[in-house]
Amino acid sequence: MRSLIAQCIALGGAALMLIGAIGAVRFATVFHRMHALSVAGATGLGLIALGAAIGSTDADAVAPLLLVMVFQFLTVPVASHLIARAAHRSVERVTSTGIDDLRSADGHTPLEG
Amino acid sequence: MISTISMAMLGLAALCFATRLVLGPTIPDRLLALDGVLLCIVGGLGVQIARGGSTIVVGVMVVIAVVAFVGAAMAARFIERRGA
Repeated sequence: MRSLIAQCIALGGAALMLIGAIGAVRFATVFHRMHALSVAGATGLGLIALGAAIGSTDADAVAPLLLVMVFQFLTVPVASHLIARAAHRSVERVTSTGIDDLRSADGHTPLEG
Repeated sequence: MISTISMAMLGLAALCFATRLVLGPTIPDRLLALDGVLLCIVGGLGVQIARGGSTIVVGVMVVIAVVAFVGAAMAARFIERRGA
């Protein structure tokens, strides 16, 4: 019974990862793709780690699995923020409307393209 | 059975991220695709533990998760400084 619950939770996490991967392939710009990856990465891997912590046969493995879950919730937003900032400052045009509020904020002009 | 479906989903997700890794027109695209592939690897190990398999891979999960974050952060800093 416990193993069944754990596998169902892990299945939900895997489904979220698949949805994020489809988004990373289908979306148009790097910012959309990064949004898909960060939502799927944080929640999907968090659910998988929670399922693994529930279904683990060894009690010593529960603490590292919960550590992985908390670590994902903390680091995935930071990593996606860093990638977005690098993309904004290097190549990508931010919007299709031409309005870019960050352009005056950090004194940087992204390339047109 | 449920774990097999989860593994298939994660494999398909890794394939999608690998597609983006090859196609990606810019370096940030490839960076986040590589991050996604690493997350799929960690997820596969987690599904294997949730199925009741060996828990000896839990250290590998922690290490790959940390390396994925540090690698993405370092590469983002690098391309931010260098451009392109």
